[in-house]
Amino acid sequence: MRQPLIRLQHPNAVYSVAFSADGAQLASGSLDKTIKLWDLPGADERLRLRGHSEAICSVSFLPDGKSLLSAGLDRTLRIWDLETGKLRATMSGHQAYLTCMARSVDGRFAVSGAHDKAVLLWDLSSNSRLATLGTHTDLINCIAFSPSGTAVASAGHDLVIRLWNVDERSAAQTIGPHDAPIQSLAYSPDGNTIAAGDDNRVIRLWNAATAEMRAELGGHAGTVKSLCFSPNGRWLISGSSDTTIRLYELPSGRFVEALTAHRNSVYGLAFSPDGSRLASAGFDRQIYVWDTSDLAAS
Amino acid sequence: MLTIPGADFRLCDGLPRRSFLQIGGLALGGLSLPQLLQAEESAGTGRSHKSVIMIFLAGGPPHQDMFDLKPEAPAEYRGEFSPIRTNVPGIDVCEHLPLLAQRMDRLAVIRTLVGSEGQHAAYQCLHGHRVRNQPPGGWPCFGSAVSKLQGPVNRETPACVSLQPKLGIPGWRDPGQPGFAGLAHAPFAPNASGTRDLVLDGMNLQKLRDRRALLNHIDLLRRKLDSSDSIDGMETYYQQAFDILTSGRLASALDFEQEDVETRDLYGRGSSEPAGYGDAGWLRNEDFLVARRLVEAGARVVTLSFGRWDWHGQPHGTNFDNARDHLPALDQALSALLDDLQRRGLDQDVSVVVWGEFGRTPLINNRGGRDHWPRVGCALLAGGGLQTGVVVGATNARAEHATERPVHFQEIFATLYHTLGIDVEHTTINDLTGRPQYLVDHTQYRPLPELV
Repeated sequence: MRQPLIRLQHPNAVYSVAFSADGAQLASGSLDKTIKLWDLPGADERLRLRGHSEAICSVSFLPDGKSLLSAGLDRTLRIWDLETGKLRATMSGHQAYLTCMARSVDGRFAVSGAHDKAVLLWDLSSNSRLATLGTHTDLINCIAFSPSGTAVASAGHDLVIRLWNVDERSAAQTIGPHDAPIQSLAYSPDGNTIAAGDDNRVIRLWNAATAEMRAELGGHAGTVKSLCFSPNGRWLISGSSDTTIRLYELPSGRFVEALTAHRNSVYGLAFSPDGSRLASAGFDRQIYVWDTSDLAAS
Repeated sequence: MLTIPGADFRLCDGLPRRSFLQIGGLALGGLSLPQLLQAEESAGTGRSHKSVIMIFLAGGPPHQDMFDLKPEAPAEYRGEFSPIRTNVPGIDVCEHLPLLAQRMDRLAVIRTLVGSEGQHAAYQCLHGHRVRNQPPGGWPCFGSAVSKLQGPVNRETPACVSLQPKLGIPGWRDPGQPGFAGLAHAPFAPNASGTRDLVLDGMNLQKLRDRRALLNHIDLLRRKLDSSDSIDGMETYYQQAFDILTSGRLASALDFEQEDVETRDLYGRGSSEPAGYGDAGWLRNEDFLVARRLVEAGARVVTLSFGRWDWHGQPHGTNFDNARDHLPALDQALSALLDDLQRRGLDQDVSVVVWGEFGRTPLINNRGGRDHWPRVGCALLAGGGLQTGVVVGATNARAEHATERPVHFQEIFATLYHTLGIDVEHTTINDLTGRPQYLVDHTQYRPLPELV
């Protein structure tokens, strides 16, 4: 059974993790309102970023390698200087809990979703809100940027995945519905598939272009809280309120392995850019880093 | 507050901490000179005393996910957890309380706690009364009433101690009010900040244990205070502070680091950070251990606040996320306390009550949470010579309301007073107008006949 390589902790639930571009650092965002920056593989805590007034829902290193983007329930996006640990910019615009954030691969844009049902587009070069892409009819729980940077997928309590055209700043199409609120989303590395996990404990794989459902993956005993594809696109990883992490082989969708270490819901998942490491973030205040070099090599 | 820096240590998160004692506020809970003398006369060395440890679960713990599971209810009511058997046939509890399940023979479960005022506050759990329509001076909390009626066990330990930290919203961090019992009977609250910090220069825990060094430092402090006109009321409590500090008994009781590592591990290592999203106290298992040490040192009533149980759902974790976080901690800390009290021969003399201000909604909301439900809640009782291994009360199929034997807050208080030898039918304390006030509405509420 696969065991974690490293265990890291926050004083409270951890919602999000992200690797730096070189895989040498890990960032984690927590309900304790702070972001921790860890040096790998030694697992030394290098920085603790304070400034959000509420839980951190999402963290992401920016492509310049010197900055970190975070989003919090305090309705703000923030950019941090990783050399000084200082806050460089704060962006606000949501009217209720900001629950999810994603950025484009090139780092030019970010998108966020919130309990105000709005999807906002942000310009990270000017640190300003660009547009409201649109709204859902209920709470938004998850959001993802397509690898091409031209589309955004968002989902939540209205049971559908809404696709937005970034260039035109408009709604593109609606995918679904699911049978229960959608809690997690991820784009495949080729941008052709959107994976969505819901409160009914299932993962549905959708064709991003045609909106057809490709597959439904079961097996979790609880809500599917987090999803991520491996960088080589051969694996889909899911985290759940049943405390486990499941590995599915693609394109078959065959379940291969369960990772058991967390004692509570798994809220965040992230692969290192080379796919050799997987980080998981849990409500149990733990972060685990797993060796997935076999998955990267497959 | 008297702050005495201590040794560095590490909590389970690996981060260094500096331990310290905070002898808060110098309002030390009722040791006027006449009472000191009276207590000296009445307290013999080696005589055991009755006491109560009250554990307040701030925010309203979910009764249907802890002690009153409804596995047959529809999914949107029953939630994610399954019941497990306990060592008492016929009594089941939540699967996340396996240690308590093995100790159910030493617990009494109240499944039908009623009469909640519905306020998000510790008040009703600490005072036994509603906030509204208080008599002149205000109701004393349970500990203050006991302090007034029975005085301290010894001159070194206040009769009532509150371990509530000064964290979170005012209603939850309330250590209990002395009300018309008088300020002299206010709970001693070492974890809450006083009106001013006093740093005893050059003092640390090591020196505190050196009485001669302490006396020298106290003398310096006394001279400093005598020359200062900015601290009011100091003289009133100076003698008490002196006695408490110089004896070392209270300081020792508060210092859980003095406990052996094995015992500390049994209780578990908690956190001093605010639980949940930061508007409540901490989830600190060590407080259960300190409570045991305090009753051993002579405290009659110790109250502590444990965690944040107000779980409305996302985005701060679902009710079940938070329960998976809090229930194992409660399971470990409370089980360790029960075992520890029994091992030390204290279980018949020390009563324990665990409860919160109300229950939670039977129907799970759309964010995976449960909201406030004053209609019914739950409580646990243990020790004190009470009948245990029993369940009192029953709720309907969805845990919405009591169908059998509703138990009022004041019946719990009547029972707790009973364990201390206080008869609520005949005992009164005068309010500020001189009117005698009964501790509970004795015309309606008596000690639970099922337990006494």
